[in-house]
Amino acid sequence: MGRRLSLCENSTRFATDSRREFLGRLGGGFGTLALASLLAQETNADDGAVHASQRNGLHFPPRAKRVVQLFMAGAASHLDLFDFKPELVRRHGEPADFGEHVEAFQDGLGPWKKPVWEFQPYGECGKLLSEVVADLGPCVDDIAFIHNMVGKSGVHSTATLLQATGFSLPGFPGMGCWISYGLGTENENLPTFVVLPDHRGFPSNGVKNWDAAFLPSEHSGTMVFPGRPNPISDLHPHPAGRFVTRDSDAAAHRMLAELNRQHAAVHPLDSRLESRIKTYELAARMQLAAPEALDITGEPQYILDMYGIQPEGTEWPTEINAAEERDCFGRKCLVARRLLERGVRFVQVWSGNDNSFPRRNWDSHEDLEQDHGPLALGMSRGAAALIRDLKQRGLLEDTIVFWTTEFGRMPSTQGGKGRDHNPFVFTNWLCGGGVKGGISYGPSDEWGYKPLDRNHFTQVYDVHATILRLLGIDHTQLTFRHNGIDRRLTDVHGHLIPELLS
Amino acid sequence: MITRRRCWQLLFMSIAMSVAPPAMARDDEGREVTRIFQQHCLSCHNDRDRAGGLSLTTGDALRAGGDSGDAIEVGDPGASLLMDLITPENGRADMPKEGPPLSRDQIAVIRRWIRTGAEWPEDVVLHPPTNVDLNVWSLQPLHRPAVPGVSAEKSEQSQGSTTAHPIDAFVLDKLRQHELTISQLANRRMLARRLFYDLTGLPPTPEELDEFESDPDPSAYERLVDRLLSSPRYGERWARHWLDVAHYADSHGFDKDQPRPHAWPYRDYVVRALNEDKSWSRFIEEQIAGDVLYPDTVDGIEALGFLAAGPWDLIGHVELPESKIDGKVARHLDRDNMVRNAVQSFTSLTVGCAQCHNHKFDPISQREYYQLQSVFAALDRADKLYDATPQTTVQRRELLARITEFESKRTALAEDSLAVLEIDAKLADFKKQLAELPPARRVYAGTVHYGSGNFSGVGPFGGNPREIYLLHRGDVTQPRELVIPGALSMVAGLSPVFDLPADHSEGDRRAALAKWLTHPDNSFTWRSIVNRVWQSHFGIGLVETPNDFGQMGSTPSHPELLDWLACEFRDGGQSLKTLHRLIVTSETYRQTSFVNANCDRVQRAHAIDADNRLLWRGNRRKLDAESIRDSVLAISGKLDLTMGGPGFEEFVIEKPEHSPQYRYDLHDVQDPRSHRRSIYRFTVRSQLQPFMNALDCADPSQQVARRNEGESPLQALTLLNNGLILAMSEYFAEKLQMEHASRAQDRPDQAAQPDGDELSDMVARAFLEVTSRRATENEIALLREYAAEHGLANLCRLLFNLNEFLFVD
Repeated sequence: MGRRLSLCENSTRFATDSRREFLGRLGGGFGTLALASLLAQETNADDGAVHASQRNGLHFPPRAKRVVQLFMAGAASHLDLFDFKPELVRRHGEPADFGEHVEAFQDGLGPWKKPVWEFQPYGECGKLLSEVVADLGPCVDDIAFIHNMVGKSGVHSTATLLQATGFSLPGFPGMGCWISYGLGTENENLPTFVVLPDHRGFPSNGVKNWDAAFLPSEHSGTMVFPGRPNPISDLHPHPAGRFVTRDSDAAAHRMLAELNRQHAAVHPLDSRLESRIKTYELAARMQLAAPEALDITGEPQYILDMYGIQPEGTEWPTEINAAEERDCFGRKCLVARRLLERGVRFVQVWSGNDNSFPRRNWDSHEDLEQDHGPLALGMSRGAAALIRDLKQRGLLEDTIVFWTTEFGRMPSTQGGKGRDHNPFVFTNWLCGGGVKGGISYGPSDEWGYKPLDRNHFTQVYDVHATILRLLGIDHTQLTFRHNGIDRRLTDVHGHLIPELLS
Repeated sequence: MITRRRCWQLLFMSIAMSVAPPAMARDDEGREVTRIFQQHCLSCHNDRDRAGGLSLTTGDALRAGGDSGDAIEVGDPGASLLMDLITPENGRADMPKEGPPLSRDQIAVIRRWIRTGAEWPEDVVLHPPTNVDLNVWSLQPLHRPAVPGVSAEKSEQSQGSTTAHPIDAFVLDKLRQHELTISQLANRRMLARRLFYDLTGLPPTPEELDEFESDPDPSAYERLVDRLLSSPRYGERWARHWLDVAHYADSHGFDKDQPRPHAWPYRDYVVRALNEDKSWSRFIEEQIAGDVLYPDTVDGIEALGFLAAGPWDLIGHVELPESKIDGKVARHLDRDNMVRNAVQSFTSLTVGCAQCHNHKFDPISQREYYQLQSVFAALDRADKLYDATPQTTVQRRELLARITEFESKRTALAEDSLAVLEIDAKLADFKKQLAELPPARRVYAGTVHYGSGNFSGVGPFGGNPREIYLLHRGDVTQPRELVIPGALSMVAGLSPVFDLPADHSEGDRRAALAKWLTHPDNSFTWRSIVNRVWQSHFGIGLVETPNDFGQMGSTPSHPELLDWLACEFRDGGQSLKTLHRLIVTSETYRQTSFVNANCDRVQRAHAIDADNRLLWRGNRRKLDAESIRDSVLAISGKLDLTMGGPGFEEFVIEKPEHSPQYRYDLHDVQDPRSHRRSIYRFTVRSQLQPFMNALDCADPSQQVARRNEGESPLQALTLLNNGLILAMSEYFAEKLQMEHASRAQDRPDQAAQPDGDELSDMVARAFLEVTSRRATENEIALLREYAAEHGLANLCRLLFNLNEFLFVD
């Protein structure tokens, strides 16, 4: 793609070229595909013909425009939430016999362990859900569960990276970065890819899960902390700048525009200069748009209740508890809806921080009931509210809700009340945006230990390929050359899962 | 809509064609089938890889079948395993493993071929596909090209020197082929700003600018170059370029991203090595095998931090033993990182691509990759102890040897003999001397580790390298043959064989690799470094892909110049400073970046070469994150130039005992300890410093050969609102006022000039400090008005956001 202005007498073409370059460079993320689409539209306007408009410049007609990913850090148990195994109920307490040597992350697998909670059927599809995620019951006819996800490692860091970036090593762009790079933004006044980390701390690998790595930095996930004075880093002047006032700031913007324009005028053929001028205009608009998008105080009470949000300043007990988990996850889900509504392309919501004690994540080695209970009650309330809220606003049809975690948990105990890591099988689910609802794809085996069909299973590449397809992108075609390799989200893997498409 | 209908028509046509494939002669059919095998199967089912035990190279091989028995049942496609595997269900088939299923046509041909006898054409032997092209430029041996003759015309405004600079000769020669010329030379002010940033990463002060601008000496520029190259600021600036490539950081990364408190001695080594202008060979040798090749030197140990510079998976090493699969994976990937760092950094070869299969594009075999892994097979990443001086090292070693000697003597003697008492006295004395030695230092390095538990290293087991096997598809559960250490066979005229004796030490392996890397015939090494240096001066290398000189990389814009520079550098002392001097004294480097868009020459040049690969003008460069931060500190009068030592922290660590959270938002931006040059930052892998990250600093999780450069609203917000910028704006304002007051005191006559007032003077001075240019009267008037209304601190904040500050002409 031409990234340089070409000198041409034809003023119309000149304008197109400079816009091409301008869009190509502009932050807020006009990626290649979006750029192609915009330019196609412009060209159409010029010559009156119609091309590629059915696909909006994409590889396929898109079914979805945006994605919200709910990531359960620490590894949520498929067995106790979504993947019911009656065999475990029958054999509960019996010595676990996997029929082969099992290499567990920690040592000492105990007896079979039944799900901690009762399961009941929901929806027309009759999907069985655990009572701690019963809030998702009304949504199951819109959800496609994948029960034969297989990971590559039982180590949190590499497994989290794999699910978040498609690679086990740090240094690869997050899924949202690729989508930002590919599709660009629908709202220049907000970041393209927003991350809502658990306010109690980052997951394993921290920002490496959503960092742009080798992609241009504007495709990095922008962290948003709705409670903090600066919900986005440097959105407002740091307290060290008490001298900055509303007036001095506005006047500075005017002066910068003027001086930078004068500078650009005597330094022709360098569109970076013009791009920077534009970024200041966008920055000023983001300062207004972001706080508005993050402010939930204007939401009606029934919405706040739906998400399980308690009044500001509620005091919480020190022990982990469901009401607090509902409140904290619900707030993030509501903010996610507001961002999606305003054109943010990809929102990532995290539940759970990196390993810590007492646990505020899903890594329930010691006591599954104690951690998973409140976390699941909180997660399911927020997730269900988000799905229903998007649906009632007509947004679910082109928004993908994607629930994931780094791996599953073992069908046996570790000797006590917890479960060890299970990278051999776990669950993901998708909803909305062209996803076929009410289905459970790819069963796990009778124990939920490995896929039922060990030769046919689902990997993160397949899920990523399918989501990109729903967004209109061929996952093999969204590439970026880095250190000699055309990198892609799906590495050299990935198969579309046609069964998941409606 | 027309287009859409046409698409459908095409689709129908292709479906119609697939319904009735044209009949084929049997031999043709056999050839067609082998073509399908070649295209879709041979990369795994060949004589070497034999995936699933099956090779498809010949008819015999096919009939021999694989691990699951016969692949085909001649005459009965329905009973043939091959047909089961290639027939898709729901759009997916078991084979081919990568890529989409075979087409309906292809499957039909194979089915018919099996039914009719599966005759393999006798003359057909299939070979695994290869895209390797042996004509790639970088595979050609390195020869010193002649410098092109240069006629008198030269540049538009030739300075009249009689002998052309060799770099200019090559560049002009190329330009002339395109009927272009170089631009006029930049004026001294532009040139000084460019050179200061380029060589030191800091701006010139207004006084330095004045001095240079008014220097009547015709060699004033050369003197400035020498002065900047001998400044310690040079090493600090250029160390950053190398640390980007080596992906150095002060924490492990991954899960529970723990700090590495002893990583910094390696960073200091790089700064020192560059300031001392070590020869490139020595720089390489020390970083790969300094302990072996330069024993008893501090540099020889500290340089080994290079091998450990990348990330480390603590959980994979400490919570998992080497016997578990995930533990094996962690150690395999750890060695992979060492191999990539050691080989790609120095040779620009994407050697890591041969981990799972032979390199798809370059002549690097999978076996060679594992041979390189075996070079590092004894190492782990851990703190290594060493002494501050070679003398202490020798003393410590001798004392330890004496103690061992006397202790063994003692065991041979009766407990109460006189001799024992004597020996005990001696031993006590040795131990006392040992205790009195200056304490040993630590550097986080690639080293034989003496640990315990899961992370034991090989130290406790005699320090012998682990056995390295070729891993089929890079899978630790599929080891194949044992490999011995060695290098790559792709370098013309240089043997990859190490020729080590059977009883060689692990260090001998690294020394052999270092010698291979620094061999004069290793063309990759010499081309790689001169290209990296060129890139750092011009923003883009002669080869645009500094970490990939393979087939997938780009070709050099000036191949002869690249080779000439590589030879000149290799044979002329391997001095980076000499190379810098050579480059920056060329007219090519000294051209103006300013162009007049209305000029014919510029229009023609721009039409042919908008990217300026031919170098017909100077490149305007955007300041990198470190230069921005360091300049803001320097201009505000707050830059602390203390060199070396532990990195300064710009965060508060929460929960350090478990999973540290690095809270940058809690850092006190006024803390003077954090006002040092950016090279001394404590860099955290999992949580990048937000200010630097917004400005595209390097991500230490990966080798960064060239930084991204972009503009975004978040970057604008960072430069407007970040605490550092705001705190420094206020300090800068204070400095301006203080300096103005002292100037007024010193020279009352000047302070009272009729055409200026105090504020205008300070505004003019501030503008000059930030941009190195004197503001016009109009600009001063505008800025003065702003400063009068909103104060000097706000003015300084504004100036730090000017394009003219952030770009260097």
